[in-house]
Amino acid sequence: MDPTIPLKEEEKESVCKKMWIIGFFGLPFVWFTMACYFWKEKHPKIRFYVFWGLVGFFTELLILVFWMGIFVSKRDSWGETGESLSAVLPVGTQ
Amino acid sequence: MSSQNEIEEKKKKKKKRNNKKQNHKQKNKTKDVEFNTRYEIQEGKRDPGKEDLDYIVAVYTKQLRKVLIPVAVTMLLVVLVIRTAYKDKPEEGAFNDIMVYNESDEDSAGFRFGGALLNAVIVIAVILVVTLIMVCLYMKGFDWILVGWVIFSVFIILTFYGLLTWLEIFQYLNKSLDWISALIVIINFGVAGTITITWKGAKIVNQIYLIIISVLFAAILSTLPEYTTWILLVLLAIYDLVVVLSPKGPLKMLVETAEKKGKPIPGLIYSSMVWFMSKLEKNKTKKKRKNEKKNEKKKTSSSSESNTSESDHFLQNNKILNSNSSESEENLIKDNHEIDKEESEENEKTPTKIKISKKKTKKKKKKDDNSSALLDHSPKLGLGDFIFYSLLISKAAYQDYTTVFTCFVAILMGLSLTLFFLALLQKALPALPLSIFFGIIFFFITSNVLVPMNSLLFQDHVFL
Repeated sequence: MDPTIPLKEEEKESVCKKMWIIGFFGLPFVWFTMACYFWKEKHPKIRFYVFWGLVGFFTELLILVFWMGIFVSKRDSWGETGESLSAVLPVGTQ
Repeated sequence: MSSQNEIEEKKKKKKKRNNKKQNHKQKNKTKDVEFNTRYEIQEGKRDPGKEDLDYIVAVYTKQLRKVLIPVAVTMLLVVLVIRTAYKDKPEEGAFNDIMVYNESDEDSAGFRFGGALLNAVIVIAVILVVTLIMVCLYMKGFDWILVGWVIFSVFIILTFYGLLTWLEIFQYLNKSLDWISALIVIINFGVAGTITITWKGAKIVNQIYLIIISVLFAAILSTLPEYTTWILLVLLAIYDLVVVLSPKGPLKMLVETAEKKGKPIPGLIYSSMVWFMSKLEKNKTKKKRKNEKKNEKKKTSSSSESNTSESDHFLQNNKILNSNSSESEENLIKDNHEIDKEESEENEKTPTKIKISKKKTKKKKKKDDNSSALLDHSPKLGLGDFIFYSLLISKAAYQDYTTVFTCFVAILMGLSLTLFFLALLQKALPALPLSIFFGIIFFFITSNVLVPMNSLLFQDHVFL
């Protein structure tokens, strides 16, 4: 469909801005794909969006990894809550 | 004498082209040469004599790699997913509620064959019906329905089936996962994928997401019962052959409507997306000049696909058709979900069994849009092709690795042959039949002859 056509110069900023706004709904990966798309642009505003989008992505990634680490190690000791939170129950744990 | 000059000219141009061809990103003037020759061949000014054939075939073999690699990657990923996560699961028969005939080992082989044939015929009939519905919708101007449908079904596949596969893999790997991070990750993944595929996105990200969609869908389809799958594949290959190569049918109507509207048909295609800039050609016929004027009026619209010239009428058709191909599956996935969730569906009344619709499917084509400044020179492959190749491989993956390897080779062989014919014949071709026929032949030969031979030899420690 649409992605087979490269963007024209005028549209780039508006597309970038839309992706930037979408990313604020708890979707940091959209910032990452935006950065992949607009990586080589030199327009200052696009660079602003890309830079801060990447910052946001890596921050949220860090938080997510942190939380997963906590969950994986402390799941057993949480009892009920741990089990209700688990999507996958590994076999053979105490 | 003049032909000798032509040959010399061509050789020089060929050298020039070969030298510069490494940098796709540069604005290549030599692309004009390609367009000139192709354009002239299309317009009938120059007969595709032997020199031109060599030339064209050389161009296509360089692009062969771009098509083979994604197909190979998709198939390998499917094999990986199935060998790890799906293999040891008992055949739950997820499709048994939907199929007319439920295969079971107790029935005789002939009975199973008949039942499976019935299943497959019903599926194909549903595909036809949905195709016609989509053609009607598109022609009446309701293409926003189709676009919305594609968006919705892409999102559902990526999130729902992605989540299922992810949980299966993690269950196999015995790792723990909590719902919070699972939901966060999968929704991110799904939304980003939908945006990249249906709106704008980086080329590589787009291709990766299309591959992932094919893998997910093929993994799900692999839970179809055995006989049904094989008969379905054969029937689909025949259906594809008939639909693509037949001179009449909804194909033409769809394409003409698309041309009138100047908008591409919504759908999913995998395009290797090699872009070249080129100057517009100097020698143009009246047709092209007329189209250029049309194009200038349409310049406000962002898609270069709207700049369809009549000279690439044929190829443009193919592209559109190509794009149509996989979209239909998406439609059906939605129905699949409905059927799964609302189990009270009266499945006996309507033949709405598994809808794995494929429209004018699986065409490979090369789009050669001479009149636009940006030209997409890549062969395009419909997503349905990826999915059905992967389905065949997944059936092999349920057996053992030898079968996988031979089927893999068979499919790639069929694909390269199809590309070769595409180069020769310069029109849209169905990508499915050749590969599937080779794949099926190799599968049955391998599983019945090669594997027992290998196991016997292995027992006696004879390694070939």
